[in-house]
Amino acid sequence: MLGDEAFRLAKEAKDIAADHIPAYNEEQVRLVTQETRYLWTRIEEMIASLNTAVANQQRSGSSQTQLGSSQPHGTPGQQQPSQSQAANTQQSAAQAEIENTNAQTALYFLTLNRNKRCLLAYHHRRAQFLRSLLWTLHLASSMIPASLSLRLSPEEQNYARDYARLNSNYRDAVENQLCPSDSLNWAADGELPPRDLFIEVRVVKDCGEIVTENGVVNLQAGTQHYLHRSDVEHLVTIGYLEHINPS
Amino acid sequence: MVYLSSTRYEDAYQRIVDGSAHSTGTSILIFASIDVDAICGLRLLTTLLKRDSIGHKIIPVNNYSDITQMNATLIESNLQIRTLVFLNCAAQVDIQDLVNLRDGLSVVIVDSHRPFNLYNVFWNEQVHCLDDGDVEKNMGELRSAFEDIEFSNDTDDESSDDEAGHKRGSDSDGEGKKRRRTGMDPDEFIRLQEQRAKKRELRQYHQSLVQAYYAQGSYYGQSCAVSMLMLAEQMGMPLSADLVWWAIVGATSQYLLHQIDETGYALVVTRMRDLSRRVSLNSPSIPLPAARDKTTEARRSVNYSSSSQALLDSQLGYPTDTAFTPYLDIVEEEDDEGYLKARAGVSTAAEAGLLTSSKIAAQSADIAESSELQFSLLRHWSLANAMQYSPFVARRLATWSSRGRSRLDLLVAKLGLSKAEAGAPFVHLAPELKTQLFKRMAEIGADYDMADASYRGFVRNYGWRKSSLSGSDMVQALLALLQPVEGGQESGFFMAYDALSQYPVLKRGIEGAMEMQKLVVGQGVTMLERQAVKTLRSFRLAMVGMETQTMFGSAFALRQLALFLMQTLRERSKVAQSRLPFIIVAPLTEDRLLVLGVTPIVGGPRVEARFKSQFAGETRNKFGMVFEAAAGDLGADIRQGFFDSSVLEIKREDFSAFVDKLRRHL
Repeated sequence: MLGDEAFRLAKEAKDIAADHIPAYNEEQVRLVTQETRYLWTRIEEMIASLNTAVANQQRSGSSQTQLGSSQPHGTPGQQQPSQSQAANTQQSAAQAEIENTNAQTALYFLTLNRNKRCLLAYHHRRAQFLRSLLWTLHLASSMIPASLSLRLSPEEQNYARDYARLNSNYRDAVENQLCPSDSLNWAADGELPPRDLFIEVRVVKDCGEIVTENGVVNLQAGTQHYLHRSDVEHLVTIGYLEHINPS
Repeated sequence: MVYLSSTRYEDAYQRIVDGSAHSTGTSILIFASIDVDAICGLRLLTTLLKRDSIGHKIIPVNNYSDITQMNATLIESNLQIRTLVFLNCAAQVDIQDLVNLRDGLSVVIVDSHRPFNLYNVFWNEQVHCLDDGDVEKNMGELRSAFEDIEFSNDTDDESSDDEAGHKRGSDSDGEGKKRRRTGMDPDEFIRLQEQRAKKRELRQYHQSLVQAYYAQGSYYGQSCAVSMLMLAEQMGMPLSADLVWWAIVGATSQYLLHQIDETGYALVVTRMRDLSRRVSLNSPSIPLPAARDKTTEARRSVNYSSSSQALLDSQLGYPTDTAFTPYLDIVEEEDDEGYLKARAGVSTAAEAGLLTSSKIAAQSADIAESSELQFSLLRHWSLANAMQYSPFVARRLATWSSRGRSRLDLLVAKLGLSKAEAGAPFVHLAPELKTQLFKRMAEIGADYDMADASYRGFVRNYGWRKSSLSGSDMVQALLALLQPVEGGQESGFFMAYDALSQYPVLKRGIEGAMEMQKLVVGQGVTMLERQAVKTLRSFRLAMVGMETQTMFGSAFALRQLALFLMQTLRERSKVAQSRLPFIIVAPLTEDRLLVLGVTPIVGGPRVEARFKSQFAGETRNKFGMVFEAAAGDLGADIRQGFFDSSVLEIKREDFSAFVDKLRRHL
């Protein structure tokens, strides 16, 4: 049915969760664009036919008025009403035809627009997901896990790379301006200050000894630590540590 | 002074915190033994540390070699570490043997294992042990004996001149010099000789004292969690229901595992009762999420009035009857609103009915005293199950025989319950039936050998929508969570740690506990049916599932089974045999066996009255020494060094030889 393909795409866009993205559905995108193109050619055709029909109507309409005006005084014959009746039915049929085509054009046009919206939404959601993923990975596009990068289209991968590069360029510029000798924690969430200075973390994968601002910590698997949030936050995001009791 | 008496626990915390003042990073290592009590104590300690924002690291450990390993990898290489805390481990051995005590490192030991190693308690200035009163009360003489031996060993020549009566090192020095100056006249010489002889005698006496101290066998002192609670209290930490509850769970675990006796438990109960009353009055009601429509609004007001009613009751001293909380399905916290909305559709009359029945269940998450029946997990499944899978009932009614089983049926009938009612989830029973059950049990219990079916315990209420838990339920759940699984012991440890505050995890633990109870009692009954416990001349030996690996490969399950079997056999065998020591064996892996020696808390081997402890009375577990001696004779590959000395691992092929050796030593 009309617009079904786009609907499927929209549903797929809805499936994108905070930590999951379905594979890029190239086939579905192709189907939707194909449908959209087809609709556009149909619309063009219809508009063309509409134009000719309207022109025809105008022409016939004007000829009829001519016909009517040419015999104002003549005795009402048998032929005249039938002729005008025929002309009328013809006219109304043409009118209905025009209205039909009009409605169909409008429908096609709306569907086309809807398709476009669905396409855009689908890609927007994916791009959004990609961006938030990049931020949690501290803008290292190479860190995207293989399981996820398999699901991205080549264009999306390019996008991720370019986005990261653009960001790092900007960061370098800002750093040069603000603090030439220091580096900014670019990916830190600047909107909300952390509630606790310390967090309780459990080591999932052995990290060995890490050097933090506050000294050396040995993060062995199977131990639990209470540490400065800033020291270990990145390890939590890449899944080496598990943040417990986050409330 | 290197032990801390119970009024000065706060010093221990001060020492823990001192370490962190000098550095900003992690300076505190906490070693926690993998058992319920230690986890509860740990939870209390971390709450304190978190309040003060002090970084720390927690390492679950299972035996002494775990600690020495950590010493090599963590403590020696990392100068940042300033404080080591040992929870339920390391009190029995000289801490210097385990870790390298470099300067500036201080050690705090909170351990319920006894006896203390004397070097920890009296000798090492860097080590602080929390004392539950026994050191203060019983060990004065021992202390002087120990110090005498230690100080004179080092400086043999000089101190041989000392007057024997003086034991303090500071005194003896000055005294010694004075004597030497007075020199060498014959009278003096004879006097000196006499003194030396006297001193030798005294030293021998002192040595025998110390020997007797170590030879008394192992026992348990005040629960680690209770010690930590007292510490928290002294630190001025505002007590919450959680804190008190954790201490109760720790102490209950000791009671259930027969580590402390009735008197010791009663001591804890009295102390906890006051505290729990205090926190229960203060505890805020669980707030209901904002309701929108009128019906829920009405419900809210009724609810609040009911809870204030309950509060009033408890203030007036009426016991709020919390043992019978109506049970509704567990709903996740987040679903609260949805649940309320769904409920709002119900007619108001029905809701009023709902509310009258929940009136007794105050909305607060408090702790209440209760008298508990020795039916396992009663609040979580049916009465029939709770009785069938209770070691206590199985033992008293002898349910391994058909006669015993029919007696069980009869008992249920006498309690006034139909079979259907007994099979229904206990919490869904009519409230009258439940009250009646407790009353009837007290009346007719004696006819069924079950006069002591109830004991004093505590119940934690989680508001009226989650089922309440008794202390023993909680212990069983934690024990089930601690069962080693695929992820190794640590995952179980941390799961139990989470379960102390996260209800869904706890729920999983309860389910595990049901399985465990079924298995333990099932296995025990089967073994009794088949008379699989061998009675040898000097001890009893039970071998569990020697062909296959079972869940009895963990000390927790095996100990419960052993306690069940041992008590049953004690109560049901001839007097001559009833006091035999009990050893149980189960396969741990393909080729290794786990061996456990169990003593009952009442009627086990006894010690002299002067060693009597507050919590464990006069009963001691001597298997540690017996095992050690037998292992020494055998020279086989035997793994000891668990914090509980009565546990060991042995190769399958060495076992029969080991049993032969045991015969000689028991």
